[in-house]
Amino acid sequence: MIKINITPRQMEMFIGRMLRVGVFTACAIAIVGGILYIVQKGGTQVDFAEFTSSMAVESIGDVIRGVLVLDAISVIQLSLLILIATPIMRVVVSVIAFAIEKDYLYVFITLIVLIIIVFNIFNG
Amino acid sequence: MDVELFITIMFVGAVVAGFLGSLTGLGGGVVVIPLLTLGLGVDMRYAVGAALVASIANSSGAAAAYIREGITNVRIGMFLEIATTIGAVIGAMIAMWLPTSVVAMIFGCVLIFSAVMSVRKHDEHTSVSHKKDRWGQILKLDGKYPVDNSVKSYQVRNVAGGFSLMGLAGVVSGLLGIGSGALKVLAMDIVMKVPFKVSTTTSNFMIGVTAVASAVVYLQRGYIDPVIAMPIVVGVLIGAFVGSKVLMKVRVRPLRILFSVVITILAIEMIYNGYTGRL
Repeated sequence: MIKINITPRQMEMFIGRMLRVGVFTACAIAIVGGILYIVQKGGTQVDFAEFTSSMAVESIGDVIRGVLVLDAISVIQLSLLILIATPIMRVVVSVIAFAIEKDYLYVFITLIVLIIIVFNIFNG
Repeated sequence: MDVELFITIMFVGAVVAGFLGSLTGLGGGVVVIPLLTLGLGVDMRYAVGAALVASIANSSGAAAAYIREGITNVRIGMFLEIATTIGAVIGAMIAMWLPTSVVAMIFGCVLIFSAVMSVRKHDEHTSVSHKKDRWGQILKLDGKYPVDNSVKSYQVRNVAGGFSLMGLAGVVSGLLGIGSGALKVLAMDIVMKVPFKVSTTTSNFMIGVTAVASAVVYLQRGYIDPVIAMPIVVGVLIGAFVGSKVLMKVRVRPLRILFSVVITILAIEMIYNGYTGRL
């Protein structure tokens, strides 16, 4: 049995670093997407007065395929997916953190939160 | 409107939103919705989607700074998150069939409530003499936090009441895309008697997770438009970062009062426009 030697303090530092990496990655990709958008669609008119569901994200696969052909909208959508994934990752890491502390009540509680979020992703 | 001009206005607005959001603890969403709907004539549904993106960016950005100080009570946050995530899913479903004019009016009311909450005086609930809450004991919610150079302990009360109120906060988040930090602080600070500093940082931690619970529904329904979201993400993060630096150096109370007056005026305008069916 490997003894895990991580203090709660180190775990907090790790979570903090993970959040920063998440938001900065999302931010950087959003900037790239924005530049691509200006290059591809610059000078066009936008109007958001009427709602249409044309920008609905169907699947992650569609977004990735769009990114591969440098479609600006897909690149921005990728940055949004990373932004959304960041708090989810935080919940996942918290499950591990509570398991290391042997606080099984909170492993259970955190798993419930994770299940609600994941359930929602697949049933939205 | 030209796409370049639109993106520029959104970006500047988002920087201001992120700055004020982190300074007042209200989150970026409350500024983003009036800017988009009243200022730029954008449909309420796109505005709600944009506010949600702003909330997540603001929460994750600020949480990265707060957690290092050891103030956030992750146990309180995680336990209450059960209520907020379930509420958020319900709120996002309600949002799909509720007329946007009604959503605008509800937003106005929440905005006025947030304005009042952000200027009220608060106490730190550091007395530990009162009787212990059974659920607080079972769930190990009591904690300690650093004040100046010492460590203070606190005990929670009325866990059941706080949990119920968090469910409502979750519904509001799902419905409006905002973090509803004011409701979360109300549940923790006033109902559960958690110290104010712990309430605000824990609330901020929770906002991101709550928002994510409804974000996927919003993405799939097309509420989050990439052209609107892009300048919001970048701008809110820059604004929140600058705001968190300024927060440590200046007295924020005069700014909070000014901000509260401004958002109250915006709130009345939102309610009026919702009532007359213009939003």
